[in-house]
Amino acid sequence: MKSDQLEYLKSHQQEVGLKLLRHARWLAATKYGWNGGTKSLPLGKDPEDIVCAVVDDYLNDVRHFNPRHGIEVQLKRALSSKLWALHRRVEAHAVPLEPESDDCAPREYAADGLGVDETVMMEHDWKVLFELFREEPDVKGDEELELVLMAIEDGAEKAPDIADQTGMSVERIYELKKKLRKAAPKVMAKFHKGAETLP
Amino acid sequence: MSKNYKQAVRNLETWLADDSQMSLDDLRKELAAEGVDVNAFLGRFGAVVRKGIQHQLKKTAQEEREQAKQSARQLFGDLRTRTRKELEELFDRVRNGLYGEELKQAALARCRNHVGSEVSEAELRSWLDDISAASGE
Repeated sequence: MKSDQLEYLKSHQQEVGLKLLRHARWLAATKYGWNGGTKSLPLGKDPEDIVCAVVDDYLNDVRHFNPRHGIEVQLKRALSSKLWALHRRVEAHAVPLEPESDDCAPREYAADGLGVDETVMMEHDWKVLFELFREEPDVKGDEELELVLMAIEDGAEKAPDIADQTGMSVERIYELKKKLRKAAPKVMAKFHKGAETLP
Repeated sequence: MSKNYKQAVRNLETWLADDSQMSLDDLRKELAAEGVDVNAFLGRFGAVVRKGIQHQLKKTAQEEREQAKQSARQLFGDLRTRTRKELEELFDRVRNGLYGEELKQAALARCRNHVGSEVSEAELRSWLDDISAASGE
């Protein structure tokens, strides 16, 4: 590990740690549906365990940083990989999940983020995801969130684009983003539960 | 205009996961609001980072020592296998400037610092080791 990478990790450790934890909880909740990502993960793990294990792997040379890529990007990829491995272990050994996790059946996904497996998506499914967001009680009827979703449907990618298209401030867009993030695990649970229940 | 929903979902995924605009305070607040004991986590995470950095620093120091030894072997050959006579001849060559002024001065300094009894074989070997290691710095 190079000295500048060590220095970065040392001087940004709080920021890096919290970003990784946020990412781990997000993936656990939306991609795997494990208890909303907020409590325990399968096999007695929790998101904090996974984050610490990832950093420990790099600092103890189990994994190696590629100098061509950013540290945070690589740590997030490794985090994703660890969660995937946990999911595979659950599947391979048929380890039962928590009793309350009916919505948490392990699934195979190709990508990070919400956990949409593009290989099995039909054209109609992409639109359905937006409809599910709109149906979510915390989103339904909220005119500002509707405008945000419409802007994204129309191609907006980032907060400033969305602000431009909706006429709202960028700060307000970030506030609304929090609401959508909160709704996302429930939306994805419904989405993954099966196409038969989708509109 | 028909919408590209596939791209829109990708954009939504990326945007919702993005943390590039978040400050440390934003991160703390968001996680705390979700019920995370942020300070406890940071304490645990900090311990992992500290322990790992110690490991890395030790490893670096070890590598540097190995490199210095390697550099010494490259300059004078493997000193461990040389006889006393060979070591003395080698030291004389260094002292006479055959390996350059820098090493000559280092050898002369060793001689000045040595007072009294004859130099032992182990000391001679150690001097040459140090001189050659210093030359690689």
